[in-house]
Amino acid sequence: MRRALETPKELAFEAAKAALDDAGLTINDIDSVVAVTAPDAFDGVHMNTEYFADGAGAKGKPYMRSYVGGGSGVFGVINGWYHVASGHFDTCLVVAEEKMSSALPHPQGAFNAIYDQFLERPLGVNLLWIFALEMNRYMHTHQVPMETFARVAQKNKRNGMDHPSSQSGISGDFTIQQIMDSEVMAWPVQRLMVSPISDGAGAMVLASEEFVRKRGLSPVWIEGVGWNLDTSYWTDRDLYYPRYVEKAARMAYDMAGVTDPRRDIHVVEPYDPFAYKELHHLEGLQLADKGQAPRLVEEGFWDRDTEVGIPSTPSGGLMGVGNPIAAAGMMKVTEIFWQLQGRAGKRQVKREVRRGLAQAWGDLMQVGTVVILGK
Amino acid sequence: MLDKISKSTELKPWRGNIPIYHRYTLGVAGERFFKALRDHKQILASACPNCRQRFIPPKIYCEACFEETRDWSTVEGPGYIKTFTVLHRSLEEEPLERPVVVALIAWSGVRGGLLHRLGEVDPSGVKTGLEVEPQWAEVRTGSMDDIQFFRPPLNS
Repeated sequence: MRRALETPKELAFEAAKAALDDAGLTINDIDSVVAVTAPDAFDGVHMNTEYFADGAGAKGKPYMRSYVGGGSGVFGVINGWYHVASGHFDTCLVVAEEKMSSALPHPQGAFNAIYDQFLERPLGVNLLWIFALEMNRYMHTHQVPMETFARVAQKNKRNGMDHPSSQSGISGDFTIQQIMDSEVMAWPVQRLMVSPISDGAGAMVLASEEFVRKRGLSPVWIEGVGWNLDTSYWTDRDLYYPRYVEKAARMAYDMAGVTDPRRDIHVVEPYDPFAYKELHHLEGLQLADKGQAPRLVEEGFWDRDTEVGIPSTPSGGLMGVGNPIAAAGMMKVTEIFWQLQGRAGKRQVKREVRRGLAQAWGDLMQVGTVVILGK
Repeated sequence: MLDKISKSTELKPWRGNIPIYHRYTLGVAGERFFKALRDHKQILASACPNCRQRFIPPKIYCEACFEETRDWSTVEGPGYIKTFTVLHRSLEEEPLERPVVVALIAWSGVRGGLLHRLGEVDPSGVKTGLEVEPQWAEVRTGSMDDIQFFRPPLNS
C-alpha cells in the first residue's frame, strides 16, 4: 500500500521536521527554504510547492521553488547550495515532496500530457513505453541479456529491505527467476524491473562553513554540483547513452577536483526508476565505459558489500524503497549523507567511503542533476 | 513518523477535478507537416541552412546552430525501426486484449523520427532495423491518425 493518508503539507512537514531534529536545529535557525516536486498534476494542486510551503517551514522566509521534473530532488540540493554558497544565507532547508496516489485512474495520464499534443499524445503514449523504447535501444546496442537487468532489480530490492521508508511490497529477496517471470508491461520492461507509484517526502539542511563551526555540527560537505539538459526532442537523442548525465557529471567532477571518478567516488546513488536506468546512468557518470556497466553487474562490482567495486544504490533506490519522484532524488542525496557519516545502519557499505555521488534524471527525460558529497 | 498505512478502507478520499481544458496550436512547422500528411500523403522534413541537418518532425529552428530552418522536403524511401516496444497494458494499467507494437521510426540522414504503431506484423518478428512504410488512412484530417500504422513495404 502506498503511504496515502498524509497531505502534501503533512508529508513535507514530517520530512522537514526530521531533518531539523537530526541536525539539532529548529525552524528559527533556517534562513531560507527551497521546495521541489515533479509535475503538479500528480498531487493535483497547481503551484504545489507554494501550497505545501508552510509544511516545509517557509512561512515568513525567503522561499524558492526549483523544478527540473524528476531531476528536482537532486536539483533542489543544488539550488539550496547556491543559496548558501552565494553568501546570502547561512542556512537553507531543502524539502522535496511527491504525492502520486492522488492522480486517478493512473498517474501515467499526467505523463501523457508531457508529450507533443499532435505527434505523440494521440497514440496514448506514456513513460513506460518511452523507457521500453530506450531500454530496447540500450539492450540492442550493447547486447545486454535480460538476466543482467534482473540482477540490478534483485540487488536494489534486497538493499531496500533495510531502508526504514521502504514502501510495502516493493523491497524483498526475489530470485532472478521471479523477476524474469514477472509480468511484461511494455516489453522489455517487466513489473519487477520498474519502480512503483509512491507518496513521500525528503529534506536536508544546508549550512555555511561558518554556521557549522559556530554551532559545532558534524557535517558532510557539498564538493561538487552539476546539471545539464539534452534536446527536448526525445526522438533526437542517443537513446542508448545519456550524454546529459555525462555533461552534468563532468561539471560536478571539475568542481570537486575529481580527476578519476572510478578511484575518487566510493559510493554512488544513480537514479534507478527502471533496472536498465541504473546501468545507463552509471555509464553516463563515467563510472563504467559504454556498455560495460552490465558486465560489472555480473562481477558484483556494484553490490553493497563489494570491497573492490563501487557500491551502487545501497539505499535500495527507487526500485527498493519507492519512487515519490522529487522525494526519491532527495532520498538518494540523504543516503550518501548517511553513508559518509557511517550512519546507514544495515545499509552501510563495506568499503571505506570518503566521497559519494547522487544523481537524478528527469524533465522530459533529458536532464541530469548531480551532487558530490565528501567528508 | 515512518508508520505505514496498510488498510485502504481506513482512508477517506475526496475526489475532485481541475476545471480547465486546453486548445493547442499546431504551430508553424506543425501546420505545414500535417497539411502535407493530409493533402499529399507526404512526410516532410525541414533542414538547417547552416549545418544542412534535416529534421523529423520538422521544426522551424536548428537547436545546434540556432538558425531558422529552410528547404523543406519529403523524406525518400521507407523508414526503419530504430527501437520498439510491445505493450501489454493500457494507459490506465488495464491488460490489453492483444499486444500493441509501438516503434520509433527513423529515416537515414534525417535526425529524429516518428513514434507510431506497427501493423501487419507479428510482434515476435519485429526487429530493430526493419524497414517500414506508412499505411495511409482513407479519410485524413491532418493528424497522426492520417497514418493508420507503419508496416513492412508491400513489395518486399
